[in-house]
Amino acid sequence: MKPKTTEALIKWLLAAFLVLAYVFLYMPIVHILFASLSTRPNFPYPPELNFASYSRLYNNSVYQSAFANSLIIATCTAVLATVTGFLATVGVLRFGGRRALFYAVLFAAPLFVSEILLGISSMSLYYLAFGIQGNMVTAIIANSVHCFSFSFLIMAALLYRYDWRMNEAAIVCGASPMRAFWEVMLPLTWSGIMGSLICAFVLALNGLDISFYLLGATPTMPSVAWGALRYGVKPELYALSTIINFAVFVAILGLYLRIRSEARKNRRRASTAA
Amino acid sequence: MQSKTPYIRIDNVSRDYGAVRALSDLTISIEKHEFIAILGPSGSGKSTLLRLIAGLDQPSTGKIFIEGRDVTDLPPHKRGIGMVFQEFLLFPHRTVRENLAFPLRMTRETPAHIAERLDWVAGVLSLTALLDRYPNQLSGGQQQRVALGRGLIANPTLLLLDEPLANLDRELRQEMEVEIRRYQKQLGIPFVYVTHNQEEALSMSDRIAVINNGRLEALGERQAIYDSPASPFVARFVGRSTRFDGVVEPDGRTVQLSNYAYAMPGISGIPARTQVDVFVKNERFHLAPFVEGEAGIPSKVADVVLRGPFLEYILETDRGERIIAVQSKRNDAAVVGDRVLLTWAAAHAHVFAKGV
Amino acid sequence: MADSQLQKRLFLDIPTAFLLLFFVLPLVALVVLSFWQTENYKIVREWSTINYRTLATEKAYVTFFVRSLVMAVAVSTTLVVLSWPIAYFIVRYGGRYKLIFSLLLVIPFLSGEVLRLIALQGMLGPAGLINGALVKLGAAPLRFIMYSNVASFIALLYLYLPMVVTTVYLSLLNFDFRLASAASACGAGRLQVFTEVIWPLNLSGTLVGFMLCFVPTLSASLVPRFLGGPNGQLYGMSIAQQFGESGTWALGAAMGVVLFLFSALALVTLSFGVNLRRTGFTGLGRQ
Repeated sequence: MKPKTTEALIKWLLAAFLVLAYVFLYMPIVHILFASLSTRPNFPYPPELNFASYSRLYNNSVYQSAFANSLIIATCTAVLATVTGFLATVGVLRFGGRRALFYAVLFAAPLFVSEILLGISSMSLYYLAFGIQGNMVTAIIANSVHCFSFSFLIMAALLYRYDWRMNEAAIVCGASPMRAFWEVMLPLTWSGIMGSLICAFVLALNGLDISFYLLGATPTMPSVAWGALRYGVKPELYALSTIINFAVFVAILGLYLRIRSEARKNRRRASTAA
Repeated sequence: MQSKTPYIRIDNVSRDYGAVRALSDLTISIEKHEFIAILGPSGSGKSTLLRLIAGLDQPSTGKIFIEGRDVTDLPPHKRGIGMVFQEFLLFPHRTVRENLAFPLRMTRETPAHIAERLDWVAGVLSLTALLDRYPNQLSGGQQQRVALGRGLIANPTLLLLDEPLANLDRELRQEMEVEIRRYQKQLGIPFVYVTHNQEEALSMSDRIAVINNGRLEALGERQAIYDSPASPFVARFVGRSTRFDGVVEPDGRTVQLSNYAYAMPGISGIPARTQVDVFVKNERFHLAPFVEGEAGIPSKVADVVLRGPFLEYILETDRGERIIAVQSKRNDAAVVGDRVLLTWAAAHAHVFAKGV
Repeated sequence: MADSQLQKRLFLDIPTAFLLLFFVLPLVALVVLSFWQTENYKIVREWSTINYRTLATEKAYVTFFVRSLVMAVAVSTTLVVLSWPIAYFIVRYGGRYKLIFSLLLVIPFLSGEVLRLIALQGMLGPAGLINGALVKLGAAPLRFIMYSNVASFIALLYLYLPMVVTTVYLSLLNFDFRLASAASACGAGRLQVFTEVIWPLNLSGTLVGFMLCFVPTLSASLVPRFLGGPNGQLYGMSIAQQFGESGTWALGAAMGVVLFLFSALALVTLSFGVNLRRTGFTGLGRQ
């Protein structure tokens, strides 16, 4: 076969496979979307547009307090994970030196320890050392450890090609190190920081294993969902699920548009300078 | 010299990318023992042409023949070629030895044969001491030699080189130019060498094909390309020249410069009264002390630049134009501030009608 | 000079301390706990190895572990095989849409385990999409895709596909495809180009993806609990039980330590089995 035809054949086969993969990933989500809007949640076809489950969700106080808890945990985790992740990223890329690989592996280590281990080990520590079962603070910290690795990887991936001599150039132009960071580095790392915040926030919001062991009775959104799931699904769950999915989608979309507009601005600047 | 089918034939080849035509109707024949340079500016399509010969890309129209065989639809690994890349593209995860042996492993040669060829290549390119190193432990020049070795080890029908010396520093480049030409003469296979550097092309090749905007501007012996450029582009691109405006006199045989009182007789082939471009290679200028009334371009020496064995005179004509004249060092060389008269032999002028 | 030392301290030591305190220390606590015992929901601080002996000898625990191991290997290997074509397509043919493609993968991942399991149940459940459709068409529902190991398998694939694809994608993104052209010009056919150049140079990325999937799968607790069915009890689920219903924390801790050691062992074996040099790693420095 001519090279062109083989090439085209391979390309279309791969494309078909890709489509299959996306269908696999999204079909359940879309199914739940329909189910949340239907009066027959088990088999919502043909799709309807009924918001009853959403209003029930809104009025359900258990979900509300659980959601509030989850929000608090998620927000604090996002901030804590991003800050430490940022320090770690700069530390490894700028000050790592010969031990850079060692530090990088260390900082990525939590990813290779499953969430459940993180949960039970933290729980054990607090119980053994302080006799407490755990509370919001410990839950936030444990979640941060897990999300820290994600933050680190995201920001390291984006900061990898940053030329540190730009900071030096700024300092030579008279800026203090703090100023150099603020004016020169921060704008370029925005997408990394945003990505990290979003990722950490959503992971902590939706993560069950870690918070579960550290909060016991205090409800979080996933733990309530889990409870409802085990005892037969209620349609409110579908509504909740759809809302969260939608929010994640919007957040990622926002991040993407931001990245794209940054890239466009840079290209415009580069072409006018040329 | 018996007339036979050329070793490599590129037949009316074009390559389109959507609406953009990267190559138009190129026809080139390459003989077995020649070193041919494909010379052109960036974006001229020369690398595209090389990729077509290699099989890394397919022509939109036209055919390519190697040793009489139509290889247009053959993938690269079936064409029996060797290729050397500008960025070397050595396999980072393999030692030098493994990089070199790679082409032979692909054709499933016996270990004995591989060892034999390895010895030969390592000997010719002085790589024996480096065989167990990894590419990132080598200097640029060393990597270059390994890349060359990898291209030559499988006894290819031809060797394609894509600006291989562009990433080396100048001294190394000049050394390698001589070496590469020597290898070609030793091995007796065609080398197709793509470059934008006309000095490289002139020093290494037997013939030069000049490409601009996807078209073949000129094809010929290197001396002919240099001394008798076929088009204004070639005149401008090959060698360093100066351009003057001129017009053909009513007698149809003399070209008079438009801005200076200087004329060249003996021009033919261009109708009378046509506006022309006159190109003169910078080393063809003749500098003499200024004498009032003699024909020539009066100028003042603004600066003298020493370039090794030559001197570069930066001249400012009475009209304020800047001209560079290259002369060999002499005892009676002109100095800064001297008034000189610039002339040249009519045969050394390349005249083309404007707008061609 | 002193200033830069201080900066170094600041940037590297704070996260290190953070991890030491809240990551390493808890694991130490876990180890300690595993050598103690629980009786009547209280922790008895007597040192003994009885927990480990229980784990090694009692048939149920061994079964769980082996089953989890098999599941983890199966899921991870399958995902590597599935992810490569997807990642390859996005990198080679994605063009300007590469970012979109990869972000589209991330979105399902961020929804979290619970919500995705809810969605899966909606699809695979006895009254869910697939079976519901089959029933409507007059066919019998598929038993095996719900409450069985197959269901767990599919669910784990579903959960970790984005992760593995993203890892392989990132690896391929940094791969210089011109090396494939060079190999082709050196006489390598399509398959050879893949096995000799593309695969080895992306091996470390592939292994990272494998491990990122292997470790959570090994300790999966929710999936088997919910979808596993009667024979589907897995290790992680058992751990959850120890810390949940049965209150035997010490035993659970021991199980956790075993899990951790095993993951660490797998990681070490894989990383030593892979000579970094031979996968093209030329240092953390930027070229």
